[in-house]
Amino acid sequence: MRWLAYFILAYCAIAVQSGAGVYMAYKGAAPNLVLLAVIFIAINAPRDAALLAGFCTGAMWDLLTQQPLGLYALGFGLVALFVAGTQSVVYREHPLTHFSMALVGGLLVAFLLMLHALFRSPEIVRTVQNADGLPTPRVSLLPPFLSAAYTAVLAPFALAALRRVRGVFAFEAPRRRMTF
Amino acid sequence: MSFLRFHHVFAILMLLSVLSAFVLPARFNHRVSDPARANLQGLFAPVSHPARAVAAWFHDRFAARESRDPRSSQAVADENQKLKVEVANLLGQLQALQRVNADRDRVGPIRPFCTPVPVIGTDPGNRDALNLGGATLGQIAEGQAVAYDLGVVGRVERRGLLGAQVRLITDVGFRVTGKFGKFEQTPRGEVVFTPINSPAPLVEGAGRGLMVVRNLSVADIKKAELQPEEWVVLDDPDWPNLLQNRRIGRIVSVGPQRNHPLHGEVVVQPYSDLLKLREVMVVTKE
Repeated sequence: MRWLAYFILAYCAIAVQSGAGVYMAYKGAAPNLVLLAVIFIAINAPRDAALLAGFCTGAMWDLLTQQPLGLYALGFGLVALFVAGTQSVVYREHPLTHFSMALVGGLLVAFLLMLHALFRSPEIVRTVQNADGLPTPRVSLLPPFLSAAYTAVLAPFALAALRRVRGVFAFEAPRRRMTF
Repeated sequence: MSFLRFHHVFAILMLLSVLSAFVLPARFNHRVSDPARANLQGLFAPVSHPARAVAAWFHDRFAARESRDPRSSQAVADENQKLKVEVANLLGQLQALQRVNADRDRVGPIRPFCTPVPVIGTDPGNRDALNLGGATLGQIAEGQAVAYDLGVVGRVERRGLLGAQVRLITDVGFRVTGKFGKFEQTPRGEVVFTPINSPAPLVEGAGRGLMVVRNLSVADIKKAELQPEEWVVLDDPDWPNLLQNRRIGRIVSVGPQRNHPLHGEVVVQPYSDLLKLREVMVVTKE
């Protein structure tokens, strides 16, 4: 795999998500363009490269968020692990595959965010005297699940578009000539 | 690298992520990672800033504008006229006061005390934060208050060479104290802002562009006769004086808490969607 092409894709996906994601949101849930990039890489690249790319994309995303470092790296690493693990049993170019991969990947990330919200509440900026008895605030859990559905709907179109530039990434490992 | 070795490396990376995200205390995590994040997040600006500008243009052109004001346009126009008169009057009084007492020159329009900074993006995750960029970053520092022309925005959470991040007042875990108020018409026909008598509300970020006040009892809320569309303004000693009484948001709903029926829940929404701001003003001089 050509890593420069991967980095450009990941960089653009994260930057567009950060800049324009809020304008594409429906009911507070934006489509996850970065997840689509991770699925595209993981579904086509060799397994090792796919796992590393998923993890690195998550780590790059972590740079822009308020969540603790490593949360999205873990999430996208798991998504890459799942998608790369199914490479041999799915028809990679079928829209239904793209839909289901994006849905499961989105749900995986949403589930991880839910776990994080359950066990780790966000840092409170300051303590206030009359707020001692108040329960800890929690991040809303609905948008990540809505986002998973939204992303899944977009996946067949986005991945079909990316498939057209598949050659740039040089996913295929060089074939070894068999000698007898 | 053999598969076995890579497998180990990947497992270690994932384990480190679990430790960082779920085990390390949040404060420690932020202390370690924020300097690096602050310096690196600006690298995305060359793409995220134009992408945001294009998306905003499309949004403004094609998305239906939602009106959050139930009044007729004539009523709004009438009120605007009265408010213009009122503002002109107040500015005149303030200028007179500023001449009398040099200390009071901090009162008045906040623009001279702020540095405008363009917004280049938002938190791509599920938190409410804005990423800032641009040439004026050098003047801002962590912890500074951030406002916009229609209210309070939040505080600078981290700053680096290439970018800064503002945690919004709607982000979960963000807390400020405020006070309720409403506009009333005096017998002479003037529209004046009147604070509502109630215990100090603690306004907490609830995520998804909303805030919530949960520290008042149902009795307190009934006594104060809180209604939707009334304002919540900043009244917090930890914030700069020139932002005191600046609008935090408007009340969207009032009711009892689902799990604690004796405690009230007042949902508050900023006037604009803070995640869609294109420029904010950082209070750099106090």
